[in-house]
Amino acid sequence: MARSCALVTQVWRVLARPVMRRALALAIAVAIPAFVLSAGNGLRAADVIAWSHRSALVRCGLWAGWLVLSGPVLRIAFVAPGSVSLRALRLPQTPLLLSLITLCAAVELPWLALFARGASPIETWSALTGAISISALSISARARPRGSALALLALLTLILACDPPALVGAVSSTLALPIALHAAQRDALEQPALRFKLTRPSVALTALYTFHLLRLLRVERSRLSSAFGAVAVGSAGLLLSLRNEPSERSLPRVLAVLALPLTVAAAVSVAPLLDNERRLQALLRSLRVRQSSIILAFLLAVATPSSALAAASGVVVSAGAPLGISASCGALFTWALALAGAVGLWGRYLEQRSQRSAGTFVAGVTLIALLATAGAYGW
Amino acid sequence: MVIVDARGIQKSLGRRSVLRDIDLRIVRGERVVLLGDNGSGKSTLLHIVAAVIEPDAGTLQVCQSLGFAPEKPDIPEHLLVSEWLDLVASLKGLKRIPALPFGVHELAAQRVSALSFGQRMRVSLASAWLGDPELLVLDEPSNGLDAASQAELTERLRGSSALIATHDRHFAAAIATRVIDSSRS
Repeated sequence: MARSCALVTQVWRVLARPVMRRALALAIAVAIPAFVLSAGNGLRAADVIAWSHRSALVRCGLWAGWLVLSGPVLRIAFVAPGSVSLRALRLPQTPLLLSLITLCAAVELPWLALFARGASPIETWSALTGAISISALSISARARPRGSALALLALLTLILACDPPALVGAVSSTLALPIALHAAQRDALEQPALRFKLTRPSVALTALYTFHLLRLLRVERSRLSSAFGAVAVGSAGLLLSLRNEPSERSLPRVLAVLALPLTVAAAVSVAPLLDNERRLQALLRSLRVRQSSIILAFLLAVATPSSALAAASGVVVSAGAPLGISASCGALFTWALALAGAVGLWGRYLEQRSQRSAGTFVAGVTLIALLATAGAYGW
Repeated sequence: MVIVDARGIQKSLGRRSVLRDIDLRIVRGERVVLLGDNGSGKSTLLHIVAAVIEPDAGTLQVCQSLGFAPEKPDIPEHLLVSEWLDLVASLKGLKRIPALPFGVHELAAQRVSALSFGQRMRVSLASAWLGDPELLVLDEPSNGLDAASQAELTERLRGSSALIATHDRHFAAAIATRVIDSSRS
């Protein structure tokens, strides 16, 4: 028993840091807008869950939304630096599975909180183990389409299409959990080959921009999930708020409410893109690439996810506000570009200073969001 | 024609003086090999010539067209080899990728993360050669290469102008038109 506890602690020591950093970012990205915006609309956790039981569409949307957000973060538990060495140590299965379950449960905390506040303990357990099992099986399914993909399909059908009684769901998800985690641990490091290359020789600006986007799409999906989560929850809350309390000055309200989610959506890309640029520094300097191309490619890449999400959010928000789709999309797109520009320049400024830290970056981003919110309200 | 003209180059890393009053002149067709102990400043001089770092003092004139391969090929792992080569070609202003040396065309469809150290070195050298630059700046280019690639490297270097740092005296003897040896022994 003592040895198992020690092993769990050691596995946590290796894997917890990268997993918890992203899990925390996801929790903040989802929880703050959810708390601020949904509380004002009287939307309770129990209502959301009851609604999901009544409608298969809502149930699928709720589960799919969360799985898209949490899946990339959960994957880190299986591919984080040090996980190769852990596999080579051939640890006993029970403590290893325990470590993975607790790590994955930490990622699922917002999901757990939703069910803990609005459902019975058995249903909460069923939701937790079900979400972990589905995410783990989807990691394995990429490498083993026959075995894991079939199990994934069966579990998804049971949970989403059949909506079984809580006890049945809990038992089946609990039985699937160790199998799914074992499969994910076995297959996560097998990367399927990419079939198509997405580039061709072009000008420096386009090449650098594409290079940054490929990093975001292939390596930073958990950050993109956080960005998506922040903007999606913010937009949903805003839509409910606009329906409950219609206003003639809806555009300033839309810009003010979405300032924080859009700033967060831009901020999550800054660190990986700066790292991307740092890794190319020797090449860029030796080839004397123009600084203007480097900075513009970086800023465009930072702005791309948030402005795309802003445009999509404009479509959603136009359903509740007396604004045309083109007006709301255009305004939010421009707003996202401006916010991403400010966040990106702040990140670059800190990068060039010797005493930079994550805390300083977050403080600056918070200030940008606050100023933007206040500016939009005052407009 | 002079392609590198460095005078009085000085560089300190922290408190340690790495390069003191270094003069270096390379003309077209010359292959200058730097031999020396670990920490003797070979890589630092190469980084300065390739404009990766700036000297603390001294003047430096280098031709515009340059190919640089660092000692540790730091190629981003999220790319395919062909995507990396497209990126380098774009930054060098090339419109298309020419025939690739070191058998890199066989690796083009692979992820960089799946390559061995030797394969990454081959990709890094092929990137340096893209566009046939006037000057090649190569840091320990024979590290990790198999015998066939080493032979190809030696052959290709014979037609180029280059500044090379290496520990390998046989390799140096095979390619150098001039050797600068800063070894203590």
